Amino acid sequence: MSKLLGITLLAALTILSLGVFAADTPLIMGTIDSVDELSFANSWDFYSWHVLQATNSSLLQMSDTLELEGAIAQTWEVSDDGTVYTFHIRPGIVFTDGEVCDANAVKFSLDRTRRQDGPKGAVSLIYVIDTITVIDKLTVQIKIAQPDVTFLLAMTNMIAPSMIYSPKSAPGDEFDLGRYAGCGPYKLLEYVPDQYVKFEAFDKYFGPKPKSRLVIEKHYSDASSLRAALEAGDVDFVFRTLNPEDIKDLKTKPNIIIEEWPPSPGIRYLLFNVTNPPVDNPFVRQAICYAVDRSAIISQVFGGTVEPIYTMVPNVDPPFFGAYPTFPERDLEKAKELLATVGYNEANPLVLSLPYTPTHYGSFEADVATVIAASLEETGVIKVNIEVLEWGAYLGQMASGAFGMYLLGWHPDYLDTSNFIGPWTTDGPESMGTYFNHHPNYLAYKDIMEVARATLDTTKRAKLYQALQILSTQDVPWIPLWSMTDEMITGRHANVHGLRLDVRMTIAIWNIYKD
Amino acid sequence: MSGLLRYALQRLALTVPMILILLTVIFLILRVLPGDPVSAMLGGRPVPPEVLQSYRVKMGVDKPIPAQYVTYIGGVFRGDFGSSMRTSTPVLRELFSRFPATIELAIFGLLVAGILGFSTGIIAATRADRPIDHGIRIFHIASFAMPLFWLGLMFQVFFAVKLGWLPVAGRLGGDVAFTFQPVTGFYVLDAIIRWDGQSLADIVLHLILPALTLGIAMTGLLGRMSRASMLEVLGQDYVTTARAKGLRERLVVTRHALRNALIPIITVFGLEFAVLMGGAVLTETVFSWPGIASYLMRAINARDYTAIQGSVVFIALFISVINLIVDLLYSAVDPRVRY
Repeated sequence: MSKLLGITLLAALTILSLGVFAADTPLIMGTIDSVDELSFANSWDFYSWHVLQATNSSLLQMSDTLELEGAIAQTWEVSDDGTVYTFHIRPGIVFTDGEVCDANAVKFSLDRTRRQDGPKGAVSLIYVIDTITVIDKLTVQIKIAQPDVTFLLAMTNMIAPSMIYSPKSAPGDEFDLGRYAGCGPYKLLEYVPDQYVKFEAFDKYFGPKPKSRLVIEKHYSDASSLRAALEAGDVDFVFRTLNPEDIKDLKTKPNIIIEEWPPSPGIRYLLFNVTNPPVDNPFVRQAICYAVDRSAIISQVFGGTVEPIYTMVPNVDPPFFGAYPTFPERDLEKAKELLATVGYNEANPLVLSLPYTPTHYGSFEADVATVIAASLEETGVIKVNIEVLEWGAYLGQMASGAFGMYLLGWHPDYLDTSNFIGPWTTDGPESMGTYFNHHPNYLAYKDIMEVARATLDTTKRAKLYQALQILSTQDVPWIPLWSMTDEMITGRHANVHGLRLDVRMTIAIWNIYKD
Repeated sequence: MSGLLRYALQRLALTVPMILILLTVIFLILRVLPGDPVSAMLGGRPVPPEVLQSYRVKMGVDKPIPAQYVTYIGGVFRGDFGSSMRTSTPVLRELFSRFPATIELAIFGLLVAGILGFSTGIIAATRADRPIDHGIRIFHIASFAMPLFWLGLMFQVFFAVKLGWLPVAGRLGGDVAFTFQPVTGFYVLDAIIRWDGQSLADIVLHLILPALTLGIAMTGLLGRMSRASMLEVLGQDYVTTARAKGLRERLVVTRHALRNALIPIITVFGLEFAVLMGGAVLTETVFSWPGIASYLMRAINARDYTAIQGSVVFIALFISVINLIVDLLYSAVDPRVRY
């Protein structure tokens, strides 16, 4: 009898443990990204923000249809002059440390983050905040320095400095470095640098329950290992970033599903320091604009995994207003004609340098530089010297104004057209190497941007951004080359569901699950 | 004070100027190279020049290089390596947290190299100029000449992707990461301490490919050295005497030749540790191994001055200590060596 009881008990335990194991099997993501720093006031990199997004919430968020919706704030009102925002907080929200999320927590978080303003952080994106006032337990009022149509976007969880966290767990005036309690869909269980980040679903999350209770994101050092991990089944899905060649190859594998999610919010540009000869001459820049061969870059370097772009902002309307394909298609004759007007010909060629950085944008940057150089040299009037500089040196040279023509990329911080144009024009042209603030037309761009940021009417705002882009095709301080759709590619096994990317580029791990 | 202790202290004292020279060289190289650490830290974001300058002041990189040097050296001697510009965490804390991963890989790599190199070298020496000797010598040359990253990638493709026997990279599998509780950071040891069989199996499986890659890369030199050393010893008069006495060949080799053949091999073994740290940079990168070498690689890419300086000093100190241990081991192996 006791033997039978023992066997029954053992069988029951086995079944129970199998059941628990099955329910707790973690979802495993692979990536080559890594955390720089898990701090609200001192981080500004894609992956650190991804971890913060999974574990924290903001007053607002972007819906799956790319519209603004409430998160911690249930509703909000804006004053007539557009400078006072009143947020009504959803009752009953708690942080993972058990503290209640109320107006005081909102004020504490935003004030603390603004006060810390770390050198690597993005607090500048909420500099516009003037004062934060607690009206009552569930009402908070934010006054901004001047009207800004992008302010509500800056209050979404796309931006780390806008995230709300528990006053109880925040470490004094030091940066958080992962020591925080948020109220996002997940709580951060553990972060081991260059190994993994572990999440567990937060049971008291105010939004929909995450589809997978346990998630682990494993970090791989390069794209080859990432691909191998997917193929070997070490990970359930991968996001950022597979090699173009691997993508082509993986598409032929029956057990792997490769999905593309265009458009991408990331854009690569050819930029100019408008103060450095010979590219200080607008005719030279226009000629380069006509000569550069986007299709060669796309086919020869990326095997068709990226898309050409002729506008400063992705052509997605909404959320972007004013995308306008103003930059011309390739025309070698036109390029030669323009160069001839400023005295360049086969006997007197235009000699340019093209620096690139070998690893920051992936392993194909040398090929990109080679193809661009070849396409310019096809005019027979341009000679290009390619130079290579490690990222640290590249940035230093760029900011010191040493470059003439160079390559750079941009990902938006929030989904507004201004965030695609501002960095190159008004926000810090010198640190971005364009020195555009020394250009005679700079004030015109600045004025247009300021008016656009204060214009509530979307149609009018779109016209202003279009005007700015038309102007830029004459001045050519930048040439948009391709949209980084290769980053918008995911690979998964057939048993993984709910994986989706959109122009926010947020991988919503809370929607992903496996059979 | 015993001779051995005096010798150890002398060697340790010599480490101080060596580290100081190394620190100075690294410090100067980083300052001479083009590039600005503040721009690198900001990652090419739009920042007004005055803000950029204020960060330079905050980080002290606006000061003259001699002043920066004095501040840095002072910090190092107080045990303060500074904080990483990339992650804001103290460099020393990062290094200590990653040290067990590197050491664990090094120990298993050396184990592979030791077993493969030493045994094949001895076999080749005792069967000199026979087919097996030729085969082993080809293997030694091949293992020495093969690029480490290529070997690692081939192992990944074959054992992980094609056969599915071993994991591709990392130290832990996704499932085990949720249950395993590290104690010391040496995962194999931790799994044994915790008596956690499932984790131990997973950890060992993750160790095999990187250790094999690192070990095979070191096997060539060690194997060739073992063969040469053994051949030389086997030609000595006392070995001939031992044979003449009618001792069996196995006893001649193991009892009489082996210990004397070990002395140059141990020297190589010590030097191999420096090679191993170089190899670890590639192995840790290929296998996403979160050790000191991969930390150094990331620091170099990000122009993270403090992390680079800290890592180099840490690695140099480590190699010095290993070499000292190797020197001290001589006396255990060779009775003629006395300190």
